[in-house]
This record gives sequence, structure tokens and C-alpha cells, in this order.
Amino acid sequence: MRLVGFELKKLFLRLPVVIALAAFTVFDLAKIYATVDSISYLHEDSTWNRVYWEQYENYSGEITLAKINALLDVYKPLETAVNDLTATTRGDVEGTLTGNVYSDKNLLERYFVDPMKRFYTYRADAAEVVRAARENAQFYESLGNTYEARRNAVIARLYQGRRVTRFYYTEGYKLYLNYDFSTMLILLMALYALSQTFTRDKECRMTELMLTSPGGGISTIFAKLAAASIYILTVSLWFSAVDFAGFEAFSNLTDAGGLPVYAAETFKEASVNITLFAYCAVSALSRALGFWSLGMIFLALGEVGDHALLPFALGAGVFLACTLAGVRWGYSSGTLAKVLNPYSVVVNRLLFGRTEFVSIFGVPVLTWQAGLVFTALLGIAAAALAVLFGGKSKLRKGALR
Amino acid sequence: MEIRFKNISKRYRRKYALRDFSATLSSGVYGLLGANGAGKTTLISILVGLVRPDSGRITVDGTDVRELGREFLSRIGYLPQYPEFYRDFTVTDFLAYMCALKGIPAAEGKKRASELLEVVNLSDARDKKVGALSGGMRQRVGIVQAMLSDPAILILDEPTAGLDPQERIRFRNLITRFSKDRMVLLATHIVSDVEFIANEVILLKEGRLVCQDTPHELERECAGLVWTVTVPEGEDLGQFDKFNISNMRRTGAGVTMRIVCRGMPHPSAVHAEPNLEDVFLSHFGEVEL
Repeated sequence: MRLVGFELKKLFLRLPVVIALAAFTVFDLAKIYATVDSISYLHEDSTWNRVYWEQYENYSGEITLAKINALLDVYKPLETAVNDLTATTRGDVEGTLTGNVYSDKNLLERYFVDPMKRFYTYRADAAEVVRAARENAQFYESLGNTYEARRNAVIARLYQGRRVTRFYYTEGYKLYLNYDFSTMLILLMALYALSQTFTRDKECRMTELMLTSPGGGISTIFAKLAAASIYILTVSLWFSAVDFAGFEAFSNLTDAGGLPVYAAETFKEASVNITLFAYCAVSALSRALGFWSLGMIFLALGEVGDHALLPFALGAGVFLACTLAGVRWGYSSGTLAKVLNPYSVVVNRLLFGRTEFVSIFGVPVLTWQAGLVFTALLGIAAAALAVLFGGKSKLRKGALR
Repeated sequence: MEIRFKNISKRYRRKYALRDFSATLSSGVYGLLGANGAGKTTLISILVGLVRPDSGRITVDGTDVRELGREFLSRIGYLPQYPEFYRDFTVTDFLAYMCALKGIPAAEGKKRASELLEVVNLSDARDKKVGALSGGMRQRVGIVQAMLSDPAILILDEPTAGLDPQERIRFRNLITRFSKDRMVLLATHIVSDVEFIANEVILLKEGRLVCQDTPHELERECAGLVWTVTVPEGEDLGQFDKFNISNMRRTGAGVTMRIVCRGMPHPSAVHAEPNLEDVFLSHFGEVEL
């Protein structure tokens, strides 16, 4: 444990790393603010912001017929007036919410009518999925296609009883779930620190001292792996927390936190039945696992060369390749490519946001399950390689063990 | 304790770094002397286990060091060539880290480090960053880390390289202080580092053992080879290019030279008392004797 503490101190608890972490945290918050400000129509000081939260008091909470009718009573006349082009374009119309008919219609449509409709109809849509999946399961069963029969049975179980009974503001989640900037910041923090893990000892000519010390050698490699794991998990979880806090502060995540994850617009085909709050935690852990796995790869690459530049470049290359593969196959039907790519686990919205399967020895496994397991195995393999490379390095070959 | 090197050879591609090296070391200070590239660092690296020899073996009291493994490591203190250590560690942190590497309990290590820093006169620098230390101070930290486990064998590879004369003298004195009841192997190409403190000198040349003896005995063997010649100003000094000149000095009487050679180099030459530098030159000089 002492060695792990020293490895942490040596590699990560250093002024440049702390400064980078502080600076990147500020950048991240600034980027979140800019994202919310540029994408959401409810940015601070806007009329829509004021009107939305006034109206929100009326419609949030349990979705009831009374609320739906009250909303439609306001919305329908506006929709009619806009559609038949009889609405005035003046900006100071008495009796409107924002002063303009078009603006009122758009606000209500975008932020109340459409989401509430989506929530309200989700139950029926899910029931339809269940019905079709059961039919399919029976059909494939009769054909002897066990894989498809099982796959449909899983879908039926997954969508069984899905419903969204409450209405809350979910735009914050829409932005949060599609936010990737902090991924790049974590990557930079990981590459900067991890690529030096082994080369720093070489540069300082400390490897000789480690290998000629009774407690050095392989135990220092394990200490480095442990310290690197603590570092990468901490940094990844830190930025996930900053992301959450940022979107909570500049948008709003709390209200809708208790809704099921499929209430989020891009997660209507979610492969998990958990709340949005729980998904935030799962997503943060998944991202941490993905970065841990990549971090172990960076660490193994760190054994290459005597200076940090080469491992840094190689690590960046690996991440770039994973990213390009993720972009190329992210939305395709090639589920195996997603599962085998740790980038999918880092940017995990496609794994959790879509119900997709991969065949593992003829058994349908949800892509998120297979992705997490594969990424964990990849990380363990990379860590083993780091130990192996370390043990076979030029210096360690001669070491007295 | 006795360390025995038996026919150690090590080759890098076609070039031998060490060739059939055999020697026996017991307690006391051993100066491993040789020109750059003579094989000193290779020999030390093999001893501490950083390099595997192509052939030969090293035994400690009859047991092969590879069999002893960690047990042998726990008995050595090693200061490698040109160490930089971690520049952003304080001296205290660095020594605590070395204690962890050596398996010394934290409290015991702290006490030991404090005592040793006192000995090397670095108590005031304990909270300084290693990167802020001068070369000499850093080497003193280096010897402190080597001494943390109170090793039976202290191995120092070119510890005075790059130090100013004052630091070099200070370091030499420290080695003598730390040599009590232990074996010290000091590799250097600087003769004055070992001249006054080594009990025995091991001369290495092109990977081979040239000789191993006390400085006094080595000097005695060199008797009759060292000459002092004074020639008047204006006399052609080129005639002495065929000799190994260990020193040349202008005096009022002309140019006085100290020459190491077998025959009388000049009619005016007179014998001089040899020192270790002369011994070194007799083996490593540009002109073969």
C-alpha cells in the first residue's frame, strides 16, 4: 500500500496534474454553459425561460387528463391560428404568454405538448413492442430459430410494463446524455499522466534503483497499475460529477431524475429499465470502466520507448482509432464492432440507449452487457501485458528475483 | 563476507564489455578503476542483477547471487551512475519512498534517514525538492538512500562524476565514514577518488582485469617507470610525444615533465616516486609500455 501511495504521489499528485485538473474543470463547466446556452431555448434571461417555468408549475407532475386538456385548451387555438396563417406576427399581443402567437405555439409545442404526448403514448408503444416481440418469439420458436426466439423473448420482458406517468423537464438530460466534451478532457488527463508512468522512472534513472531494491521489481509494476487505476477512475468519475453538476446548475436535472431512462427522447429504445438518476450513475461507472481499460492500454504502451512522447502518441492513436471505429459503426447494425470497442463503453449512450443484441455462442446478449464484460477483459489483458512487458524489459531481464 | 567473481564475460554484439573477469572481494574499500568503457558499469550491473552475464557466476560466501535473489538485494546499497531521482519529491519524501522500496518500516526508515542526513550534512535540506539540490547535494542524498538499509555491501558507480573539488573531497570522506565494517565497491575513472581511501584497487581495461592489489603495492610495482625530466625553454617538446606524460609544468628552470616509461626518456631524467595516477597511466596511457 505504501508503494501505491508513493506511485500516486509520484505520478499524479503533482502540480501540473492538479493545475490541469482544475483548468479542465473550469473549461468543462464553461463548455456546459455554452452548450446549454446555444442549444436550449430556455437559456437564462430569455422570455421563454420565464414563461416555461411559470407554465411548468401547471403541467409538471402526474400526467392527468385534466392537465392534458388544460394544455390543449391553450395550445389548440394557437396551432389553428398558426396553421391557417391568421395569427398576427406582432410581438405585443395581449393575452399571450410571450407576447407573440407563434412564439407561444412553438414554446408549448416544443416543451410541453410534444414531450407530454411522447410520455403519454409511450405505454401504448411499449405494449405494441411487447406484443410484436411475443409474436415473433412464437414464430421463431415454431421455425426452430432459438436465437431469434430468445432475443424477442428478452425484448418482450424488457419492454413489459413500460410507462411514463409523470411529466417533468427533460431537456437537461437530452443535452447531458449527448455531451462528450469531458471525454476529451479525461483522455488528455489520462494520456498526460499515464504515458509517463514508466518513462519517468527511465528518465530519472530510477529503474535501476527500483530493480536493485528488495521491494522493487514486479511489486512496483503492480503499484503503478493500482495507482493508475485509482487515478483514471477518480478523474473519470470527477468529470462525470462535474458534468452532472454543470447541467444541473445551468439547466435542470433534478426534477426528471426519478423518471425512467426511456423518458429521455434519445433513450426511448433503452435497453435498461432504470431511472434517469440511476442511469447517470451507471453511465459514469461505464465511462470510468472504459477509461480504465484504455488507461491500461496506455500504461502497457508506456513501456515502449524511454521518453513519454512515444507512448503519448501511441495512446492518442489508439483512442483516435477507437473513436473513428465508434463513429463508423456506432449507428450501424454491426453490433459486434460496438461491443469490441471500449469507446462504446466510454460514450455509452448507444449501448444503453438502444436495445441491441450480440450473439455469444448463439445466446443473445444485450450489447451493453457484452460491451462492459469485453472492456473489462480488455483492461485486464492490457494490465497483464504491462506486467509482462515490464518483466521482460531490457533492465528487468537481469533482475535478481 | 566474500564476493567472488568467476570468469564473468559479457558481450554486446561483437564487443566484449567484460571478458573472463575473476576477482575476490572481502571487506574494505575497493576502487574499481578504469577508463571510460573499460567495463566498470557492466561489472557493477551484473553484480547488482541489472544485467545477466553471458558466462561466469558471482558467489557471495559460496552461494550464487542469483540463488540469493532478494536476500542479496537486501544486503546491498547501490548508487547508480548519474541518478536524477524524482525532481518534485522533497528529500524526505524521496527517502521515504526508497524505504518503501527496500521494505524498511516507515518509522524506522524515517529515523534512519534523519540520522544519515545529519551525517551527510543535509538536515537543513530535508524539505527541499530534489530538483532544487546541487549535484553534490543530490549525490549525498544518493549515498543516504544507499545506506538506508545499513547494507553490508555499498556499491557506488562513478559517484563523484561532475562534482566540484570540494564536493568530491566531501564525498570521499563520506565513503570512508561509511566503509566501517562493510565492503565498498567504488567504480570510477578518477584516480584521486580511490588513491587515498581504497584498500585495494581493481584495474579494468577493455573488459579484462589488469591487476588487483593495494595502492601501495601497485605503486611499488610501478617503481622505476616514473621519471622527472626538466628541459630548458625552447627545447623541442615533440621528442616526448612517444611517452606517457602524466604532468607538464612550466617552471623558472624550463619545462618539468613527469613521464611514465620503461627506459630513460631523456639524459637529464631522474626517477620519481610513483603514485596511483602513474600506475593508471602505465596501463591506460596512449603509449603501450
